Amino acid sequence: MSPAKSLVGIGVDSVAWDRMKRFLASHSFQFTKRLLVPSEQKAFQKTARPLQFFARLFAAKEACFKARGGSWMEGETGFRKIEVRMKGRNRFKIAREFQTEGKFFNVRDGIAARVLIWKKAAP
Amino acid sequence: MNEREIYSKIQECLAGALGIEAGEIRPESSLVRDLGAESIDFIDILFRLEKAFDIKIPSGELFPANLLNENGMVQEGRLTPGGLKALEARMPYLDLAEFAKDPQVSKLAEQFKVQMILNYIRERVAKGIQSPSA
Repeated sequence: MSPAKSLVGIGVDSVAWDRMKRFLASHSFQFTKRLLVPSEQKAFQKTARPLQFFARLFAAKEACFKARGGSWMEGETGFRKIEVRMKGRNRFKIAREFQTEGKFFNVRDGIAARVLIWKKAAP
Repeated sequence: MNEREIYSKIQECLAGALGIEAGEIRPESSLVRDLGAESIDFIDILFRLEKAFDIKIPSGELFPANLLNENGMVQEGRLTPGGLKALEARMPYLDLAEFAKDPQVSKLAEQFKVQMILNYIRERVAKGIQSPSA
């Protein structure tokens, strides 16, 4: 039987390809990696599709801020407090949370991420 | 670097990040309400400012970082009097006079104006603070 859980929140965010392309064209990896934890930095350096990879990560982290009730205003340290673990092409999890369920969706001009975050229910 | 040069560089940073003409940018422009900035734009703006002025902008110095998550700062979606005071102390570059009348957290980002960035950069340049790598 799975443990009792309660929903912390649901977050949704989307990123337009054009906007992300402009961002990546303007900033070197040295800058971009400031938003990523080491495991994400490694994967980002290896990927053959940096635009798609970084846009997914960014949307997932933004969705996580929203699910937790936080905001981008936490700045780069806020982004680095969230570790996104890709699960195949269209799903992801957030590390160190009790339970999460993340999914990517193609939208007209970009990518959207939706995440549900649960915590262990009080006994 | 004089005031005009600083402002012109800030305009360039904002225009590049937001994909707009420098002429559309005025000191009183709200980054969100008037210039359409979103979260990725704020990150982009920070990185561009760091490069343009050769400074490191610590997390939470230009935008309020974790302040809103601290205990006692927010009640029912509004900054408490203590929260407002802390915000003023943490962000002396931000004019909070209008926001203080109805301090809804969801409206805070609308208060971030070009003038706020100008105030911040002017002070950093005056103090001559360079990036750690400089």
